[in-house]
Amino acid sequence: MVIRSDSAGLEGKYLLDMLPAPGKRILEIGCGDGRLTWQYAERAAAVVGIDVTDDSLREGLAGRPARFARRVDFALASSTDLPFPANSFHNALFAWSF
Amino acid sequence: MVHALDEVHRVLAPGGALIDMRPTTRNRTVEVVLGGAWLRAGEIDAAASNADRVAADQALDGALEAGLFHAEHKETFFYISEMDSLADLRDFAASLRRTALPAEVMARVAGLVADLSGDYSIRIAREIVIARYRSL
Repeated sequence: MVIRSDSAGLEGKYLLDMLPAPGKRILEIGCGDGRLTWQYAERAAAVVGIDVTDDSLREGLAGRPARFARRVDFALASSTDLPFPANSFHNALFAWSF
Repeated sequence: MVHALDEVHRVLAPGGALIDMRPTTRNRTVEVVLGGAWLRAGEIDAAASNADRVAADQALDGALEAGLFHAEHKETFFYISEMDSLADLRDFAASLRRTALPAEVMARVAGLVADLSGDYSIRIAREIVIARYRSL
């Protein structure tokens, strides 16, 4: 199967336009395998991606570019019970998660 | 969703941005593209997922009314999935989870590409909304 997803490239363009990333600590909810994460992580100070699907997170970790090893972390967690202290992120992203 | 917004508000610093990006309630369109012309073949019904999306909209409205966030900016765009053969379209149809590619749409695509000479592609367009909110 050869399907070119987001062949117009608009998803990444709009995300980069809307997400204030430079120097920011970002929480991505529903990160899956990191498909979107890699599009903005270069500009962020740090990214934590969470998902409720263990398999997707494993794929994400396996596919994490080496340059993001210290910048991007993934965690198995639910958006309704976030395992982080108050005020711990500058920005948050719900990525196709509703 | 309501609890998720409460939680996001808790972990965000004041003034932090919440970006919400997800499909809208509109149906996906199926088109055949040849030489820059788009031939519409039909739609994929979004109804099976719309209850969740409407609930998400209501939860966001509630969070705005509760003073957790304020709406800053919203735009829509189309997420395009593109393929070059009927076989790829069948594989795409098999990958759908909560909806299905109607048989009549598949038949219409097959009829269109059978009549065409030259390279064509098949595209599925899905409307996406992306919105930015600020934590108060």
